[in-house]
Amino acid sequence: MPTPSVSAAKVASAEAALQAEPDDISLVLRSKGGDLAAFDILVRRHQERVYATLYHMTGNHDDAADLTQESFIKAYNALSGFKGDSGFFTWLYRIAVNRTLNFLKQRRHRTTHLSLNDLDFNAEHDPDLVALTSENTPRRDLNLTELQEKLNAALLRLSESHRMVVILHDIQGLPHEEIARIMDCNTGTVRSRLFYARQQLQGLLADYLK
Amino acid sequence: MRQPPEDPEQRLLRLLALKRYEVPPPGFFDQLPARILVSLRAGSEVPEVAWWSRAWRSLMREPMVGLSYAALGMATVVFGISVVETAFDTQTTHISPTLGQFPVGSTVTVTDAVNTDLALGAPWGGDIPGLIYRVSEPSMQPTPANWFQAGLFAPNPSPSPFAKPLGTRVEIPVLVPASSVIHVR
Repeated sequence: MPTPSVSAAKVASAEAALQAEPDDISLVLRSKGGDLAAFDILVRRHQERVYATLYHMTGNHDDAADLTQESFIKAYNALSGFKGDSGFFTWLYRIAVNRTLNFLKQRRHRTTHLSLNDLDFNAEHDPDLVALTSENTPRRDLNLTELQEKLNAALLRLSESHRMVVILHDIQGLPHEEIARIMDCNTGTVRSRLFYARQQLQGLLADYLK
Repeated sequence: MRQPPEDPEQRLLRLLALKRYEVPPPGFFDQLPARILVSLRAGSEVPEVAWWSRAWRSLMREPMVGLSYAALGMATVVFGISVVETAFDTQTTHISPTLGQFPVGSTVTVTDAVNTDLALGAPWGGDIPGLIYRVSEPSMQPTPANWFQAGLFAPNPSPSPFAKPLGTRVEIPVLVPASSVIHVR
């Protein structure tokens, strides 16, 4: 159990960190005034989540990298239109999601080329994932990379809107309400899409879920 | 002790957790902000796809829609040609019957308001006194058939069977001092 002095030090350092890192709204205000350093902080703060969402949507690192960059540039150029009705993160996500959905519509009739990222080293130590590849099922011969390919192929079989909901909720962990704001629909639609997307995924991955 | 079988949905969520371990190439998140800032400093806008490019892609995706637009375009062109032809036909009805009385090859001088019928016979429809007009052979009205035959590909075009005589035509006006009579030579 940590001593009170250690806890106090931790709290103090956390407060100092909070003071050092301004919140999104103040950074947005500074960015609106042309302060690129402030926007740089916003980019560094949100880039991983934006990139991850776009990567899961496209299944391609290069496309996701381009879309992430374009989304941030578009967000910067549209900052004057940000009224603060929603959080900056939600607003940014909405730009990124819409841009990605447009991109995917254009790509729909082309052969989708998967360019998957490597798995983090820690994946091999995740007990759930270890169990998935070691149990006595048809997937027992698969390693994690092969499982990753099967999973991505199944995700790409979903419609864009269903895939987006699964990614935002089941992978990114966003609540229904936030997803509804990002996708500009109501929470009932989000729940319904999530239900049908999971049903479809269970059908597509039945061999790996027994 | 044997654990109860897991709900398929729970197993799906476990499988989806694998996605969280996918990471971009090392250093990507260090380079991305710099790339974004460079673009912003250069004043670059997000490139918007031009409308014609979107339309072309759309037509390529939907060939039947493309064919429909092509058919519509062709129909518009044919309709336009027929309108022009009708206009030419209407113009020919205004040709003066008086002009036909003069023999081919003769020249006619039009004086001020002496013979307006003759002036109407001019191909440009002008009423210009003091000009000498030369009466020539009936010419051919341009039609789509003789456009292709005459202008573009054939050095010495022969009249198309679809071409219609425009009627007696006067040509090559020459400015002369106005006189008070019509001379027919």
